[in-house]
Amino acid sequence: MEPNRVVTLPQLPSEVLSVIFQYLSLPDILCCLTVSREWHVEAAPYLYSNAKFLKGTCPSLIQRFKANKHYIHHLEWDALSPKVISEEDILDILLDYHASGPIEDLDDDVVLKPGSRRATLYSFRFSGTLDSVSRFDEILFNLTSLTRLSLYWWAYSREVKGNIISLDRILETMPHLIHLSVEGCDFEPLKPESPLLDQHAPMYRLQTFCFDASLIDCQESILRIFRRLGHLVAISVYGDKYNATNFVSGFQPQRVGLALQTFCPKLEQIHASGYIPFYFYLFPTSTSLSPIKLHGNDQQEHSLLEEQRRQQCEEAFELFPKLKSFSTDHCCILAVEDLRALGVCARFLTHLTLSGMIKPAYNVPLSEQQDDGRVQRRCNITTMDLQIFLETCQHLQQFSAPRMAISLEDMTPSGMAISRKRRTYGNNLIRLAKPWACEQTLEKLEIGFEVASTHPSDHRIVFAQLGRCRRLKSLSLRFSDLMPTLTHGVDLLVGLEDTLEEIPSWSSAWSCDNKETLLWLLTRFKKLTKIGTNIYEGSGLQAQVMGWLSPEQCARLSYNTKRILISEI
Amino acid sequence: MKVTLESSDGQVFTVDKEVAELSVIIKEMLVIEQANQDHPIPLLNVGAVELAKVIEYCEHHRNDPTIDDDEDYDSRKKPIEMDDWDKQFTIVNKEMMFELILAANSMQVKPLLHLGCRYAADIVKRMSPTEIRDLFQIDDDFTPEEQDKIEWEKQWTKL
Repeated sequence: MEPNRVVTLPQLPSEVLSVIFQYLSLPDILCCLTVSREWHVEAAPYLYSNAKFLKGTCPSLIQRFKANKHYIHHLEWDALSPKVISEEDILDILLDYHASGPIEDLDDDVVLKPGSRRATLYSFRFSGTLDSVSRFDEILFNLTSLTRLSLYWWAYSREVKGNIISLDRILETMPHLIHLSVEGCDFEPLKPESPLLDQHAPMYRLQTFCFDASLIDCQESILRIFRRLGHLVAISVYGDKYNATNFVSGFQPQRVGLALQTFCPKLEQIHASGYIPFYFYLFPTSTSLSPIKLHGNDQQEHSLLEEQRRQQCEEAFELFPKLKSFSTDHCCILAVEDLRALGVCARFLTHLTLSGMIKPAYNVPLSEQQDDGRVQRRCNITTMDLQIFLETCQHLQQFSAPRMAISLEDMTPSGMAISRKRRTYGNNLIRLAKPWACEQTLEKLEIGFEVASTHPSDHRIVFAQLGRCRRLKSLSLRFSDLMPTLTHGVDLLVGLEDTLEEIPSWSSAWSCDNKETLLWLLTRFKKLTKIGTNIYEGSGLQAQVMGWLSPEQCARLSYNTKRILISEI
Repeated sequence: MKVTLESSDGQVFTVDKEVAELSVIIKEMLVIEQANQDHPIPLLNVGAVELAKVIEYCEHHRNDPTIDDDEDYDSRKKPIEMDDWDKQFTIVNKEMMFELILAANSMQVKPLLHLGCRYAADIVKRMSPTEIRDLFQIDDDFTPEEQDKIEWEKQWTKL
């Protein structure tokens, strides 16, 4: 533009100023406050729109928010740490209610009538213990303007329950609600006349819903709560993080899947936190017990068997037809049947994250499996299944399964020899690998590769496959024993030189002591700006490596400090 | 169906109805004056140059999903996505951009207003109050007492 010309611009009407301030951060807002009276009037609301009452929040700050409470639109309140804010102040801010005495002394039948200067909240995030706030219900259900509500009740143990909240009351009193997250409390049992069960009422607007798995096991009719949640796009379920065999008793993956499939056609994202079993597919009853693990006696017979499995997966009943993303944290339960079928027929699946421990457990308690003919005993995921998944899943963009590794022998295609004796299945059968189906779409890969050899030709087999994934932006070697040197096959990644951006590799076999490889990567791969090496900060190796590189190149490396990751990418 | 629009300086533009309807004002006018569509719709605050640019924007975004008024409820929702075309569109001089903001505001073309305000926010960022006053020809109309009060008001953010 023209820097030297004096530019004067038209005065902006106040409604436009207000829109501009939406895009400014707090320091800029502070500056705008002092421009003129008009600007002050328009900027002040943004100064107070985000309130946080957390541990350590200064009391005088709370008084300022109190004086400007009508500007508050977003509130985060941590009632776990006592006396961040008094109950009188909270009532004043949220309801514009001024009690004459302590709240505890109020008669139960005194209605807390909200005043006109109270905050209009759009988002509210609350964490507390069961007895942290008296008359919490009354406060909550006056917040009718909310679009995002997040409630977290903390209890010493999952067994300590007793806080009960009414889901239908939340949805009925907050018609604008888009996001709801409720953790650590039970939902009130639905009455037959509950508006949630009304077939003729319109859908609620809710798009994301996070809840404890116990919501779904507490009563028979509960799955019908999804009847009016037809706009749901994403759900997140919290379950037990410690015990895989005792996941929420009564959580029936099949029924949950069917209910969501029937009532929530827009569902795209599922997140499971803790050991929550999900079925993605149901196989026809005729399918024999765990056929997925059968192996043929020779190549031909085995290919035929695999093709049969593939067809079986295609015919399986899909429970989440629109699924784009499935992710887990800490731990998860996923059976090979579901992984296989996801690969074959989840047409929209682009993101799969299986973090933490993947429990080698069956998806449902054995007792339940026997009761239900349609539910087969489900099997553990092995290295070969991971390879088959990648061979079949066509649109995958991100795949992260840090605790899982594909073994070299399962990645070896026909005509390639490996240095050690290969594992055989059944009668000396060796499975030959096919190219990954997602080579054209994969952008981020975070799984392990188990080569278990130092022979360069072994490593080259893996790098050859990786080098064909031309869209790859992030390739993690953190969980592999791959040796990244030019002789071991890094040169095969040459096709990625215009796309690859990061190689997070701390705690891998990447010691970076190969000067030639490092320089080759840093010179040819222009976009590669984040290499997380396994070099310890301050070590002799670090000094040596830095000696090889220019300052610009050094800036693209990060090092391992004190055995803790310095910059997790 | 076509609709004709007339700029403040008398130029007439003919556009598809669905394009014109990205402007909330025009949409409302069309509902009211259904019978009277032979006359061009007068836009008294919008000059021909700006109107042409607004129409260019609306033509490109004619198929965008309309923003539900209710979803606008929470005004601090995530900012509207800017695509490459939008970025190209905003490469104009400052005066033009601010005239466009005013035009979008008076015609109530909300996505364009937000696009422009984002541009404006980028300009205002990093500027001192004096620079802002010079740029927009604003008078400092605070009394010394008010100024003290604001300084005090600003203090708490440093807590």
